[in-house]
Amino acid sequence: MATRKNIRNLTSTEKADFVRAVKALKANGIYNKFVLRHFAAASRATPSTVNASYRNAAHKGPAFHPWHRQFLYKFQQALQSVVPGIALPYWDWTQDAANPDASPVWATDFMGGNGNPNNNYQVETGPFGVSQWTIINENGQPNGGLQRRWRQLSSTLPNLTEVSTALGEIPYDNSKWDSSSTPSHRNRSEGWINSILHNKVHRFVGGSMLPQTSPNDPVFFLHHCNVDRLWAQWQAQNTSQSYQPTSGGPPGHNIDDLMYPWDGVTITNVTATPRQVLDHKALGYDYA
Amino acid sequence: MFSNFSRRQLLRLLASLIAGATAVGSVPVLGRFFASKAQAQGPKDKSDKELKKLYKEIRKAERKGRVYEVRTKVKDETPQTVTDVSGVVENPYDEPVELFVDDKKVNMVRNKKSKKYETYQLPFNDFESPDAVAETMIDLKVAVPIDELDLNGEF
Repeated sequence: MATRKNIRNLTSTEKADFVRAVKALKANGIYNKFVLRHFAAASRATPSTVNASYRNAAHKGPAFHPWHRQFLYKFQQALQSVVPGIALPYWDWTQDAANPDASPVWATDFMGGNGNPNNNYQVETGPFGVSQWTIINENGQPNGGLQRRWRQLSSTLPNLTEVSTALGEIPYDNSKWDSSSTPSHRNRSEGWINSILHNKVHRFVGGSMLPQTSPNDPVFFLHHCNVDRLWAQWQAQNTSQSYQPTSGGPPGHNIDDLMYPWDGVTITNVTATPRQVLDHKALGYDYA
Repeated sequence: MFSNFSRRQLLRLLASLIAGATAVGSVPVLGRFFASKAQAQGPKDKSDKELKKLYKEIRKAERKGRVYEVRTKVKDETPQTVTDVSGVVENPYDEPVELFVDDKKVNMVRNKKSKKYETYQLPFNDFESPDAVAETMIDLKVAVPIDELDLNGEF
């Protein structure tokens, strides 16, 4: 069982291993596949008769949590091909809400810091600085250095009050199954109610974390690992609640629907449904 | 059979064969083939005469070496309703203005309630104007997707 740890509790060796594994995946092209898969899912309106801005295969619908759980699960497997047994760490941003700039996540031996406003907000520190890490665009082409612009759309990170509200919200989701659903744990934690939690972190970090190619920034995975941890916590605290919808919801979002691109065709021989990822321990990891 | 078709002709043929495609949004993926790239056709496909019939204003601007074009339609024919899982519902979006960046059409819609512009490519923003969409896309180095994406691979 791989144990996903708080970034604050990583040893220097564990941090170095994580950075090394990420960079190895970048070098062999696997990392960029993940960037494109996220973008492709975000481009796929569900159903096809609406606009992807309204709901897509990975966002603004019930599959937000299971889609990203599957996405991180596969990314962790890829990391483990470089460093056997490695687990994705999580960034608990509530611990940095009072002073985001001083977060250990931005250490020069880890994610590096903010972008330089005099250099198009490109990151110049750490292992993902402009001379060491090239992002890709929506067509998979090299697109210059990683950008960060802290406080670009949100001046704060999420706090414990927001987390507490989301953990206490039931049901998991409800019809309309979109960004207006309320009450809805999924919609609250995704952040479409009052721009909190998941959305707020993207909006705070800014730069490359704003477009749907946001996995270009490795902090994406640390952020979403925390989002996944909080969903797991909600599941443990609300055992009477189950995933919704079981049927009648948007394609790709019902509990037994194949989630794009894990439909067995787009990615050959790999399928995933929300039901298959509801139990994170069955996927071989747990949280410390 | 299709060997003499240009890429653009092939995209148009496939787009016309797909039933149920609407004015906004993506069309079903055929295997790995992103038929929605047909929406990326640029302004050069239309003659000046055709353009005048469709648009009451076309405005070009440049930012950081990239050109964008804002076209205000003579008539917005975006469907008033769309089909969601609950049935036929009011379309939350209209499209009175089109945006092209690097000669490629951006999937941009206007929220009927807020009157602000949105694009799925920048999900955390809504924008006061198409120019604001273009400027942010350019500042964040966002490209309009046109290429087929090969998503297959290990893991």
